[in-house]
Amino acid sequence: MKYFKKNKVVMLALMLVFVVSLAACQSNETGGKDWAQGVTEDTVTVGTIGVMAGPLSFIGLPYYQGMEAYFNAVNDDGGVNGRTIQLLKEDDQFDPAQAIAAAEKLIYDQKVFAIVGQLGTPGVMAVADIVEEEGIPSVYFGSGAAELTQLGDNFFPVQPNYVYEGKLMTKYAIEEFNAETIAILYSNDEAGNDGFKGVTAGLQELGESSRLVLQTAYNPGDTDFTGEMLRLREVDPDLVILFGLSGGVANILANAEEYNINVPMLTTYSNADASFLQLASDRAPEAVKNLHVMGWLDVDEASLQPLVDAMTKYFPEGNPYNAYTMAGWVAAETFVAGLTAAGNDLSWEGYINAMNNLKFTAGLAPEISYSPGEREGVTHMAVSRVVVDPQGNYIFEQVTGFDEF
Amino acid sequence: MKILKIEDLSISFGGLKAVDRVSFEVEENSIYGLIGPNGAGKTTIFNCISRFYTPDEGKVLFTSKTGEEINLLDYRVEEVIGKGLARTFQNVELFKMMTVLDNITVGLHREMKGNILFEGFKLPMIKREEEKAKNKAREVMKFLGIDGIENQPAAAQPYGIQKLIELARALVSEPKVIILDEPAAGMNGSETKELAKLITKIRDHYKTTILLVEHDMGLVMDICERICAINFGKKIAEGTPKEIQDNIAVQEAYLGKGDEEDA
Amino acid sequence: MEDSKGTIRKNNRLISNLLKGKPQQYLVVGIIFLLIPIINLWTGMISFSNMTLLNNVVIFAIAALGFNILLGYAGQVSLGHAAFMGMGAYLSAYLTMQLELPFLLSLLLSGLVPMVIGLLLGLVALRLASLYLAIATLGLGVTFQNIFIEWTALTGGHAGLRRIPYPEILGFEIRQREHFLILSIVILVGLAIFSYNFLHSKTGRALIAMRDSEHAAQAMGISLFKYKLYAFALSAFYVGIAGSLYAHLYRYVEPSAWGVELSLNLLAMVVIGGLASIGGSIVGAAFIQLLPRVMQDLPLVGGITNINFILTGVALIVVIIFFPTGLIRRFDFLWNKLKAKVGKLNSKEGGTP
Repeated sequence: MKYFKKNKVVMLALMLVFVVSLAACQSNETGGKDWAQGVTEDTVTVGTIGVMAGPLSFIGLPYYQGMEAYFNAVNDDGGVNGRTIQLLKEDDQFDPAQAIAAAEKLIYDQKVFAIVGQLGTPGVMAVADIVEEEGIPSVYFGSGAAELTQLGDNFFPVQPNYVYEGKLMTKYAIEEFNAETIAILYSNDEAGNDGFKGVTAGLQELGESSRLVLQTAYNPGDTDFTGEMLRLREVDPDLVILFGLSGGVANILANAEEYNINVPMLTTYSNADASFLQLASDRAPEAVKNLHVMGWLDVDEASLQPLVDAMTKYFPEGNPYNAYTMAGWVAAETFVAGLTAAGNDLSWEGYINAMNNLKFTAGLAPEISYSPGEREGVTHMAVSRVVVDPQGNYIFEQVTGFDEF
Repeated sequence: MKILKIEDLSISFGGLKAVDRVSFEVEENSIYGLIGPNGAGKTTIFNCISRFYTPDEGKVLFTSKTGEEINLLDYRVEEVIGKGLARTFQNVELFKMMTVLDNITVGLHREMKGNILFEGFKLPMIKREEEKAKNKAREVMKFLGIDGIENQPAAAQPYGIQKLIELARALVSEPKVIILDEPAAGMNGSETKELAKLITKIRDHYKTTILLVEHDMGLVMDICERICAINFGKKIAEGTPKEIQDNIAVQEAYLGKGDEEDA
Repeated sequence: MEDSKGTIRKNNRLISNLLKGKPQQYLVVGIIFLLIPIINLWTGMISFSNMTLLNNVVIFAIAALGFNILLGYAGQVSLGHAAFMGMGAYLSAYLTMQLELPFLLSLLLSGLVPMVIGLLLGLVALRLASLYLAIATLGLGVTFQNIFIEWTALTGGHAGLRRIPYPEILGFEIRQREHFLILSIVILVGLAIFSYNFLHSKTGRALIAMRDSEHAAQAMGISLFKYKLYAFALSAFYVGIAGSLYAHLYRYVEPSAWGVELSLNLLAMVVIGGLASIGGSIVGAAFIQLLPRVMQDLPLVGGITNINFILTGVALIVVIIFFPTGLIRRFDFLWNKLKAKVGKLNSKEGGTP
């Protein structure tokens, strides 16, 4: 029948199409230059991915201001080895699927030379596979995920990861706080779990596991910590480690205030930020005075001057003293340090080699260095404490030098 | 042979007895009428028979397609048509989004073979079943005089045609008993006369038994061989049309007790 | 009589016969769309990220198709269907990574397992009337999202599953977006034809009957419960398959994707595209996936945060008010008008049958 024949023809066509398309494999070849993609005679194009607008913009906005301020300053100064730096920004709205789409756009369509300062652990992890596969350099992550140190030589984490931080906390706990007994409250998410892992690992390596007398996980959204407060009273530790991000820690402090818990507390560097301090001091004006925080940036008048100048020039409405602004600035300066050292050898191998030989001390962090196979990032951290200045403002004051585990 | 025997059917709704120990029997291949004033409980009885309601007491004995006598109360509502009892609804309940032909074909749902996998892959068996079903539907449409509109949307048809479509849907499975719930509702005199002829024709052609609830006395008296009268949930009379007409209880039920005669 | 008019008539008849019947139409349209990735393999005109976007559209079209069977044809509301898509995604990742099962088998299982779970859930949930069903499914969706977060051994918790393998068929690894698009279009067309076939048979009629008049359906022998269960399970199958494709496209699965947002997006796709319409599901999926991207690039509105949520909401309202039967029916209407006009022109030349 005619109908049947037509159906057959259609099926045949479909199969032909399938076979032909299977046969048409094409590989993408970049041009024959020695430079990697994203490099021309006078420009280097880089990309960044992170949350820029919306509820989490209190992180993204200052962060990217800091990053752009640095690049602008460098460009105005003649660029790096004669090349200006073009920054392409993609907003992923803290959504991993969008982060993947952004990475594809930057790496495959816009062909950037490197990814700089990707912000947000979910997006960072989502994109990690692509970055690993392509071998494109990714410098600085706004994330404390420990895996980033293990993914390959093209990954350059800078921020300390939470596992390492947990370890270092234990060293300070013993040497600085002289804590015979330690308690830890950690959030039931990646950051908290990693921190807890680090604390237990650190104590174990130091042979002091017995000092840990209380360990409790909490949900980031919890507001009632009555149970934990009562336990703390019972156990009466010398130091309480609060490993979680701002909202949860502020809630814990509010509860500590209510229950008059008066014991030194130590929290992660992620909370070493003015907006968190504002939140915490509003809710727990007395308890917050017991709070200490880890920090990895060495900031004083002198070291901050370039940042202050740049921000005044390019983002006068922004705040140079914001921890996130500083983080973005560090991301940019780390990338540029490697770019400068690479000279004209702007293939990806060339950049990676340059970074492997890097010992960068001129920035806000005391030292950033890598060696082949070693990608630990910043390993020196210091402890700061919350104090009230003569004007009645709550600020952080550094009380130790920079130490490593 | 009494194909349908209602025995002591009772059902209450919230303390109010809607149907109170009603019993009647329907002879095979006859046309049987159920009458009574509004709210008497006729439709409730229908709903019990067709299993939309479950009565508190009683039996509904039905000689099914297979010849076996069963109590319909042992079965669920969707099993009833499979046993050989089909019904129509007072407010025509067609499937508005379907064509006329599809509406009628649904009447054969229980008989059609096939499952979703076979259907999805359009196996020849499915095609055959569809053709078979559709042809049966077409036959019924022809019989009722509504052929030619098979691919039209059912919802777009005039009310009278919709009633016929619903009738076709009930008929297509060749049931042993059809229950018609107020088939003449919304019809004028001449339409009702046509309906009477049609019902008789159906009974003769399909050799089926017809049980109907109706308000139109003309229709009931015209075609029903026996009638059961209900009032306030109780049976008040049963018999031939003549017997019913002459029955005082029935007269009272419809006209009220006409004792007080004010000049 | 081989005159020019006769040839035109013959050709017209050929085309209209070819296009007669929706399954053929789907096939033909599918082949036409297959040209897009094929041509792109040679010319590379469409960017990588846009290719990913097209893949996204097809994947969600498959999910929307499944959801439409439940909502559009069977008239049952589920506000938790994201759970099934997540199930399919995690399961496919697990099967290909841990058990190293071949991709096509994983794909099939990623449809079957959610289907069985959908069946079990349906046994409980479907006894509820529609409002309570909606609430119950909403709760189920949240529950499953939390299971995805907590069951870290299977799902990797918050961190998710990375390095999900590329799909591999008969030794050929599908790495390129174009090849993936070909695969997903073939699956979509296959499912569309399968759906069309059963929707125009006894099962389809039963579903529509159930939606249009529960009483009449029951009187005609249709078990409401059985068919509600069918629809629930079937829709879970399609959505699970879409989940598997998603996992192998992005090669990364994490819990935050499978929340209420996604469930509501499925609802929006189907309502905007057109309830009880296969073509409508595809149109709706394209609309919801493409609109935010298009808007982002527009000069003024592009900068507004969360523009996609706002737009989806606005679109939903506009469609419900002005095109309550969905965009596809609007297209159909305009297309029929066009055909009528063309038909008039043809009839001047000798007519098309």
